[in-house]
Amino acid sequence: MPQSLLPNIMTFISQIDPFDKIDKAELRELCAHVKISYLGKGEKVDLDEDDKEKSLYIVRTGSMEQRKTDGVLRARLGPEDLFGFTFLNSDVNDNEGYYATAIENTLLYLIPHSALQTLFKHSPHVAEHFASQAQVRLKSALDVVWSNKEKGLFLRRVGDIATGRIAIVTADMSIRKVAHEMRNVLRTSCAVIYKDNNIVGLITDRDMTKRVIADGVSVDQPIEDVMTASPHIIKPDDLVLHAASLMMQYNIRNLPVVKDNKVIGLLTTTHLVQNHRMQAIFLIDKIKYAGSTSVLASFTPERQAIFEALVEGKVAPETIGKVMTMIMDAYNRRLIQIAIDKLGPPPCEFSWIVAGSHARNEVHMLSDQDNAIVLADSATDNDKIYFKHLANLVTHGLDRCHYSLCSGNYMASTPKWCQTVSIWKAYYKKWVANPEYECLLNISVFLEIRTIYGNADYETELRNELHSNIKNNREFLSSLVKDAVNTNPPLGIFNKLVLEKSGENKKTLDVKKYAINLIIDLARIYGLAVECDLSATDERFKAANEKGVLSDDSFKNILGAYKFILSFRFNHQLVALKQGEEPNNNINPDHFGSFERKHLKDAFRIIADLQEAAKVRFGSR
Amino acid sequence: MKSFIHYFHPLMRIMREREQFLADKNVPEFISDNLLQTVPALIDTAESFDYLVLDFETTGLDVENDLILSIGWVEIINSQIDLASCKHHYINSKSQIKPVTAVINHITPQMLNEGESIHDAIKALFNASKGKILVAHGCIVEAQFLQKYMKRNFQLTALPLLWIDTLSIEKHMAMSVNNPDIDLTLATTRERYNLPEYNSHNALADAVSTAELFLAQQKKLQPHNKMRFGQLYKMSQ
Repeated sequence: MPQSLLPNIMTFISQIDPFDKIDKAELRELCAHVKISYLGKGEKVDLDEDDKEKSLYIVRTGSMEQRKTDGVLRARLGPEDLFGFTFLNSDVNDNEGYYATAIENTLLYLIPHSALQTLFKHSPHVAEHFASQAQVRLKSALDVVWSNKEKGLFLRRVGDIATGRIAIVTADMSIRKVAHEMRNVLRTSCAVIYKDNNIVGLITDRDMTKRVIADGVSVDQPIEDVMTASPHIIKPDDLVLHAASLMMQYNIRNLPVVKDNKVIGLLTTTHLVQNHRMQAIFLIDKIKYAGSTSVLASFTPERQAIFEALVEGKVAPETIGKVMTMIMDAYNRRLIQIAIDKLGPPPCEFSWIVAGSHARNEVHMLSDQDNAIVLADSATDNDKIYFKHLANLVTHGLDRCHYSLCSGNYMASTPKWCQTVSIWKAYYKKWVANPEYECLLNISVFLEIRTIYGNADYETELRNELHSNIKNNREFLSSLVKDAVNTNPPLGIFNKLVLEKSGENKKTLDVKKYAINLIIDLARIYGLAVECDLSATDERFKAANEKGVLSDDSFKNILGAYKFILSFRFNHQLVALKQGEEPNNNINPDHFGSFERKHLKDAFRIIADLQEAAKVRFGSR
Repeated sequence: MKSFIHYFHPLMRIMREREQFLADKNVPEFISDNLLQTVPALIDTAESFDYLVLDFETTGLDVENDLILSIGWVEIINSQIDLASCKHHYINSKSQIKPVTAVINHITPQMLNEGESIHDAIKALFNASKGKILVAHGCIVEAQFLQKYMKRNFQLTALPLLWIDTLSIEKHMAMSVNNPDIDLTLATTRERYNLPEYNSHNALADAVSTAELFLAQQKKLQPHNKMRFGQLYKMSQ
């Protein structure tokens, strides 16, 4: 195109994602190859035609509809929307054919495949924005939102921040010699001890004070007499989050960073506290020592601040879920301890079990509580009264800490959900055998369980019971599927309205009901099908993928969709919180940019596709 | 009877004129090459032809005294406007520019000094339009300026070029629904078709604008069937 070019066309294209990420000179070059086409109402673009060059289509004016070859509506497109994407890559196999029809007279800009290829050759980094598969598009979306620079400490690897020096000594060295090595040679507070080329121990200056000076141990003795044997170590590739939880769990301040049996650094609590995002660690610490429910309740603003920092820090959504879960666990445990302090020791063995999103490690700012108590079979009626009180104290305590009571009463304070392990087993048996509405509802809450206090064996026992029941009743999975595919994701956001498959338009998008829950349901089905013990949504899909029940493509697609929608919801909640509003799951499409609309549409389609696949694989005929 | 009517169809008439023109006159090769190429039949579909949509920016509408400032064109191949074929020629004709018009059309004296000669531009135009049908919005301006150029430089009169005129087509459509007072300017016409607003006063932008309008008009005229070229040509008269 000559210099004078066509500013009109270029300006239009340059504001559309992902063209807004291309530099001006490259965009001009690309625009010079645009073709313009005009479709009359009802005219079709056949995207599957083999002889023509594939193109990326941009709607300039008018509107289009995409349908699958069986006529099912796939998407509706208005100005600035793109289509024809998935056909750019000839080795893409996940797409059944579809066609696009103009629903009014429509002016289209076409960008030929060859022009895009030339662009990618010159600027490979741009290619990802145009990736043909939705999964890659979604991933690139996440990358755009979370720039690498911004990635929080949680996403970083231990190796990136562990700068501490560490003395390396052998087990037969004297305490004095080790102290000299630490103090005068390396000036470090910590030494790692080798014996026969293996790490056998760790010693810190605090240990020296406590175990040597305080106990009057001779400094001529070998260091192995006073060292901490079999110390915890961490790998440079481990997540900082993992290191932090290790330190908290075992109350340790120094973690040697070890690679191939070689110490390459030291991670200390100082490294973690240097970054404010480690507030989560401090909060958990404070929770642990809080003396009363009202003190615990006063921490809510701090918890919210951490949530906001995580979302703003562009931390991966599953990590946010895990951090918020760690915090919720801490509240819950502390409340149980406070209750036990008040009521006296428990009269029999029990376990406090959490369910739903809490069990899946997917807690967010709106999570309510789902919990239960499993008692030893020896529990008497009197014992049950004790646990009823305990449950009341804990659940109301959680409510005061803004983990609202479960509207469906799936809480330990409900007598039905505070029962002996035998009764619980009978519950599972009944639910699996009669998967009618109410049983399905109950089992969908208690399909994921996790012990956070007490005897963890009960959890394993119950899960084994569940799996063996499901194995004996294949009908159960198909009932779950039937229930799960009852709700369909919307088709997309069109004209500021949420377009549902029924053709109905809604003013807001209930992102929980129409997207997140659908994905969780699917994960549950796939997870149960392969008897996966893990309950996190992403881990379940992964297990199904590893067992060959879920194809690589579908796995990557659904995971990408899930992560995008989660971060989308987190951001929505963040905005609400910042405006002093109660966050909810209903999102007004007015607040979507062109970017979100497009990616939501991809995500919805991926969910619908997997629902179809689940129906075929697990559904009864 | 049918063939008799066809004989008077403007398309048939121009074909006869072409034959005569090429037989009678000593026509430069770049022109005869062009004229020899396209011979549409009445029943051919419009989409079976390729088009070259062009626009001239001129200093005014007086063909005797005014000058061509710039020429822009774009091709329509297989019913698609191909921006890769866009050409925009500023014509070097500094001595005859009326400064006032040049300002209105946003063409600076530099552009005109740095522009190319009218001969090169016209030659390029004829080469590019070989095998294609010419399209313009209000083609009378372009046709007259081209005619004047041919007469002045090659002593050729009545150049039998085949023009499709989107303004004429629009007028015919307006007449057929008894709406003769309609505004036929390019920008307003495009608005009626819900085509995007492009800034005009640029020969190339107007050429692309006209090309889009031309595609849209065909869909309006024949929403369900294929457009016949003969009908478009007749409406262009």
